[in-house]
Amino acid sequence: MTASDEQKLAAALDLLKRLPPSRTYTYLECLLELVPEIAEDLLENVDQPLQVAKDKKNAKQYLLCDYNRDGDSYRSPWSNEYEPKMDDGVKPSEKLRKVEVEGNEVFQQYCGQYYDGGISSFYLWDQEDEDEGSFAGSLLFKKDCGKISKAGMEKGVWDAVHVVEAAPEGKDKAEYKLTSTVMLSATKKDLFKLEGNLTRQLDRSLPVKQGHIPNIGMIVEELEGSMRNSLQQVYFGWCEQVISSIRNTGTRLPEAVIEDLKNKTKI
Amino acid sequence: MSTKVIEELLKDAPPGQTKEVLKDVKVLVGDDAKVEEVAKATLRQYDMRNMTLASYKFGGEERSLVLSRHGEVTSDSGVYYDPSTKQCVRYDHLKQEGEVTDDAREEGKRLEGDEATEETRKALEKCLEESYMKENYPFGACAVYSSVGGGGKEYAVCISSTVYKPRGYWSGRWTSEWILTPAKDQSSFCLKGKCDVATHYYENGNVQFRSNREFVVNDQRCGKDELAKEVVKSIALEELKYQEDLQESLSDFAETTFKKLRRQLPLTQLKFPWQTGAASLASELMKRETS
Repeated sequence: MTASDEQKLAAALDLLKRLPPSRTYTYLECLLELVPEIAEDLLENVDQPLQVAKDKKNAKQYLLCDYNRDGDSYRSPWSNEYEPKMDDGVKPSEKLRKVEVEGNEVFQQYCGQYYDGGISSFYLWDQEDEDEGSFAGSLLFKKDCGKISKAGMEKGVWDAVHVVEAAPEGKDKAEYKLTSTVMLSATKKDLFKLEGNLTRQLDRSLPVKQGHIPNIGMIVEELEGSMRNSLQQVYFGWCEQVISSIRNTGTRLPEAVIEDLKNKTKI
Repeated sequence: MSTKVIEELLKDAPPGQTKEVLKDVKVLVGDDAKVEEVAKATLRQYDMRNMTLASYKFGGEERSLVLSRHGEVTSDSGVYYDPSTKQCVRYDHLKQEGEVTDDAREEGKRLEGDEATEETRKALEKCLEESYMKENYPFGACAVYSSVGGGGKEYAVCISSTVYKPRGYWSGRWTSEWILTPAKDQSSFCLKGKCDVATHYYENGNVQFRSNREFVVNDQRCGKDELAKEVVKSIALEELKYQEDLQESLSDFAETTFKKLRRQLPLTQLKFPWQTGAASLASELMKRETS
């Protein structure tokens, strides 16, 4: 990547952090028209809400993302088949597929316990040019729910994308690098729309006693739990605070405090 | 490269951040002159739609002016009338700088109104500035226009408050627009209003809140010489009710729907049994494979 391309990528990502997340798709189209030379890096860095598909063989739902896509087809984690059918689609090695199968079973249980009625998918892929035993994977969860009450209609959608890279460390340990993004939208009809995403990272080095799945699971559970708290704070608590700092409902602030705040808000 | 793409990327800039968005778009397009040409018109519309607060110097003082369609002297001119000083201000939407201009003095006269309307307008402005704005919008400003709505006896109240804290990665904006129609004898009035609220948080993410509400207050009675006071009271009440609705709905959402999306802990109140759960499942899978 040239220095100018790097600058462009930084500007594009900065824009996507500022413009309304609900219209990310439109902005991506604009950016791809302006800077096609950074298309691949851009798409790799942008998370979009997860789509749901149904595995015909198993009548089970799974989630679509860049990690199970090859061309225009998506691979089901349950049957390992591509839909639309694709015989030469990329698949994990036999050894890795075993781990993937185990992971999908376990994470489906995890999903049931934390996301009652949610959908999960777990995908693995072999890392090229890496040490023996390195791999990467993504664990996805989607849940939506809503309620209709006298006060109006509410709707919430939660999409979690956990990307993990694992590399062996010494004889019986592995190092895991986890990057998690949660996209959350909260809508109250005729009143407000609150949407966006938060990204966090967590690195852990753990002994591989019972395989990788319990390790990946523990790290995901830890980060997801802390992100849930951050989301609650940022979406609901923080938002309320900002609104009351731009429009103050309480009694008048002392002049000195106002002056101080005014100085602080100057760029 | 089309003009529309540049427009699209500029027009939704979050509160207080048009400069940052413009800078990014320049890097991406690589033709500053072209971007600025498109930005001039796009940002002018943005500033009027979002009632950007402009500042300019007058009489040795720094004045704030709420930009809005009510103060635009002639369309697309970038010159705005400030009713509180009776000055016309030319605003550079790219540099975000305003200065008094004499170029549009004649056109500006149109917005001044006659003696009677000016008296009502002034009373309203005074009432808003002395109590309401100071108490509720410590960072905001308001503007009151007369002679809106084609020369009829209508008044417009524009309130705008934006806070941008780049170091805290957040910004927020509240704007209100109220159209007042008093009865001829000023014994009652009607109000039509619209509030818009937007917030943005972007530390390791991008979270945006949007809300608006429209209001109608019909035939509100008021005592003699109390029009301004009663109008401000009505505005205050409607805006407070709206803000309380927002606060209540946000905490309600956090307490109900958000909890149903993802639990803090499983129903068992214990974390997931990775060791036992995964181990027993793995051995079961082995059995299935070997049998």
